[in-house]
Amino acid sequence: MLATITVNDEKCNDPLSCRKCLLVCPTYVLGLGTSAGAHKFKEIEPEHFIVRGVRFDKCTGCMKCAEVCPKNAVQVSF
Amino acid sequence: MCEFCIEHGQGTKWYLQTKNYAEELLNEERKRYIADFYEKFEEMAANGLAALDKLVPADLAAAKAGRSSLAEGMKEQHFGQVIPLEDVEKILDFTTSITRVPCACRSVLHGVYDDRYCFNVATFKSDFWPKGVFEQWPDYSKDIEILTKEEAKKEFQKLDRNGLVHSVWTYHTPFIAAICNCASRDCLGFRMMERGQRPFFKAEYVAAIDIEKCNGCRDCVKICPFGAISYSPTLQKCSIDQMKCFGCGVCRGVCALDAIAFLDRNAIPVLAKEW
Repeated sequence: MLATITVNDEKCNDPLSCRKCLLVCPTYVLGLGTSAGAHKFKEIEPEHFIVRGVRFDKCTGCMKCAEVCPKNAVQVSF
Repeated sequence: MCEFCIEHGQGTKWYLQTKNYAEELLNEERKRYIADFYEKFEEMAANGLAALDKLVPADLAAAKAGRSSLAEGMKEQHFGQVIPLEDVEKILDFTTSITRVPCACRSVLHGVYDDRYCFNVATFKSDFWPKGVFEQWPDYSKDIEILTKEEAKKEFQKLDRNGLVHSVWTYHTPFIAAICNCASRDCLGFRMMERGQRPFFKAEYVAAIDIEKCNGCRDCVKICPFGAISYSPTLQKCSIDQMKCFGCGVCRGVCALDAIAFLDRNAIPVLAKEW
């Protein structure tokens, strides 16, 4: 049973300054990337940063990422 | 729930069920098994270790990938489960006899014969372990101690602070009669684990760090017997890999900030299948 995590990018509009879900995940399932391709970080507008679930094999389904999100943008499903 | 909870505990913690300690289970076959267990422990351990150490890398990979035959076979005979201090105390509360004995693993692995880390418990005739089992070996029985519940609880608290993992063990499952205090280099069960075979279940719990409270002191990293906790210099926080966490709970004892929560393994979907 693998979990899937989806992030609503409209609600999660500034992940770089929030990072709560990235920090809380005990197995680092979530990753921070950009929707503007690979550039040097500072050249990218904050709204182009996105959070995605990447290492689903490590996800325990503890729901901490969904709980900690201030904008209710993270969904965990099985 | 681990498979013993389902089989021997009606869906609750099997090691808290008094029926798994009952005198009725102590039939002739079990008595013989217990006598043989102590009589032949050195021989069994030496043969078992030799067999494990002979595994070539390919066998080792196979043993790690699949459930191993040796540990699987031990489920019927002598199998364990990690339990936290509070569950040890619950067990001590319903026992009538507590006998502290030298650890057989440590005698085999380190040649240390009087390290008393094992507690034999019974819920019936209070001299079963000291008289019924150990008296026949005077060399061994000189090192045993009879403890009251209060004394035993104090000893377990001390062991917990020193980072020892508590575990219950069966003598012909489901009969439970021993609580061990293990450490990675000193315990045959841990040695087997290094070779891809684990004769005990993880606990019914897992630990989790509250990153808001954690100050990055790393005391928990040092004490974790399973290497499940790591430290991030960037974040200056510790975090627990819950896939590696066995739920022994010793990390809680060293956290000065009370930042480690202890969760029910069964409430976390993937971990509920991780034994």
